[in-house]
Amino acid sequence: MDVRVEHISKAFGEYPALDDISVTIPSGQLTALLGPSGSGKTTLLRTIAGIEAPDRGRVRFGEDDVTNLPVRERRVGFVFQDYALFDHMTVAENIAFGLSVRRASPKDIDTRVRELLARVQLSQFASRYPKQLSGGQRQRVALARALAPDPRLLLLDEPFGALDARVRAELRSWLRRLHDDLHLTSVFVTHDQEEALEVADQIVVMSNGKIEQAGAPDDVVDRPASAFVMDFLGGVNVLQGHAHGDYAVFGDLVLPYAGPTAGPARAYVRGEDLVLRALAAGSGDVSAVAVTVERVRRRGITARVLVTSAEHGELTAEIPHRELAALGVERGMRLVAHVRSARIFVEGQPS
Amino acid sequence: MSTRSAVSLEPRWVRVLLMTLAFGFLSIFLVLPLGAVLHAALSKGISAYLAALTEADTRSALKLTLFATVIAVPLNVVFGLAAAWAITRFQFPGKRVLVTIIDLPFAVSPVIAGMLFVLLFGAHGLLGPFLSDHGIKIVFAVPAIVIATAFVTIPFVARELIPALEARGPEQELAALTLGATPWQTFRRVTLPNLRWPLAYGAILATARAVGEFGAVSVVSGHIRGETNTVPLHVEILYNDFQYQAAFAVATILIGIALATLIAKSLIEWHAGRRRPPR
Repeated sequence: MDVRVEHISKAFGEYPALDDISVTIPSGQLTALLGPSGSGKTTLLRTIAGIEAPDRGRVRFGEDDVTNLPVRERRVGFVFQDYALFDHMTVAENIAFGLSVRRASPKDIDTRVRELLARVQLSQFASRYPKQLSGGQRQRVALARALAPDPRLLLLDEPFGALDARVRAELRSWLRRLHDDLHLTSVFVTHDQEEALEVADQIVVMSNGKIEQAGAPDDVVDRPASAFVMDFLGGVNVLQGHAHGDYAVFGDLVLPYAGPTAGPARAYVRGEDLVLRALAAGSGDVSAVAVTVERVRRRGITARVLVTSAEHGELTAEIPHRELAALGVERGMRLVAHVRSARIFVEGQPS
Repeated sequence: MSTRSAVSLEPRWVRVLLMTLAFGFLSIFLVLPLGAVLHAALSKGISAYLAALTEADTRSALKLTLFATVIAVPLNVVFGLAAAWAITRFQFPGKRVLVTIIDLPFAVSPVIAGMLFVLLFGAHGLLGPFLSDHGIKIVFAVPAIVIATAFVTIPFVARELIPALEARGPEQELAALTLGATPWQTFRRVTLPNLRWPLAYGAILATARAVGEFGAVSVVSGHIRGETNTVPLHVEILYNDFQYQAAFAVATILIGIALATLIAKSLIEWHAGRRRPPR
């Protein structure tokens, strides 16, 4: 069942949280709502759940218009950011809640609770209280509780927000596997682009109550629809300059540009598209700029090299370790940074 | 004490002085008077003490006090839940005014509160002609005593619940709704169990106040022995009649209720503290 959000607007007082948003959440997929805080992503999630009522617009589950359907009749599983487990109930009672309020038989409840406890690997914690569990365990109880009444849709608000890095990585891949098992249409909110790229089938990038782009991770990364998307996905260098007919100038850098308009422009260059070369190799290259190495940080299989240029300030290049060794990069070294590719945006107009 | 003294910053004599002062104050203002009450109550022997307690007017006063309490405290619980819920969960015009008004009975002298009800329901009061036309007697009768008791106890439950609800936020209730619970199921199975300790605490404080209330009740009661006398009023009447032993004997009932309240309060604090999450 896909979820269609049609022209939703929602304001809190004077502050517009969602501004005429339309998007389709594809059936059976895991979709990430990605954006900085205040972008409206949590409000959109809560509107889909029915916890928040939109000022205008419709929400449809498949063909059903659920805009005016109360939360409890929407059959939506919702995992809250801080889990919102019932403190006075055991883990098993928490998971059973959604079944017992619908007056399921004790036998059915028992079977379903056992099944879910096994699925979230918490069978031995059935009679513990939430306060006696770790963050990751609580998160899994919240998930099991949301899944118990067999929802049409699973919504998760910042599901990994409150956890430490290692547990977060584990839970991410666990959630992905769970989704591959269940194929339940799921939406989660995150402000972490790596999380979205790693886990989701679809990414909806939001800012200021609007949708910047919706698409597969590859689309969003390779064909960002706006400067915001490119910037938010991170690891990019921004250069200020001016676009002309078929080229753009950024200080002493000249880059090809085939856009329709001329005017003040910004070039977005990914870390891996900024190639460091020995000084001598840069002579005559108009798409390169002289830089000085400030700092080298190793992260995984690549290294981040922070360099400064007289005209563009700090830039970050991301290069494999072997290139780092081949160049003999060290602090204070003078190099040239060649721009292999860049996306150029002219005054709010995508190229 | 001895294990903590190693990290204490104050010299020994300061600690001794402060503790002596604290215990000295307690002795002079609490323990000595309590002892004196017990001594006076038992001054004519145990049979005189029991006679004072079982005398008809005393029993009727006790009945009336308990009657007023049994009505006022549940009213207070219902009102406290409603008010605390409205204040912490909804935005509405007049919210600040409501918060302030809840505290009014704390701010206003109970005697003034009593006079308010006389002005409102008395023979020459605002609603007096209407009430006497319909043969309803409120002031100088049992209804006024119940109303006055309810009035002075209003803040207790609400004031305990508001911080508890604010600290918790609405997420658990929202979670219950997404799981398909009706509002009533959500209230009974999620909200109420989470609030039971602050609720019990507020109810106990309200009970203590309801039993001991003097000022407001004194104004509206009319002091009709055996009819509109509560225990505190009865103590005063006996005292003014120079029946000191009987007055103090009846006073021991109030002391007993006060001690029971203190014990119940400590038990709740202990229990609530014990249930806090192990970290």
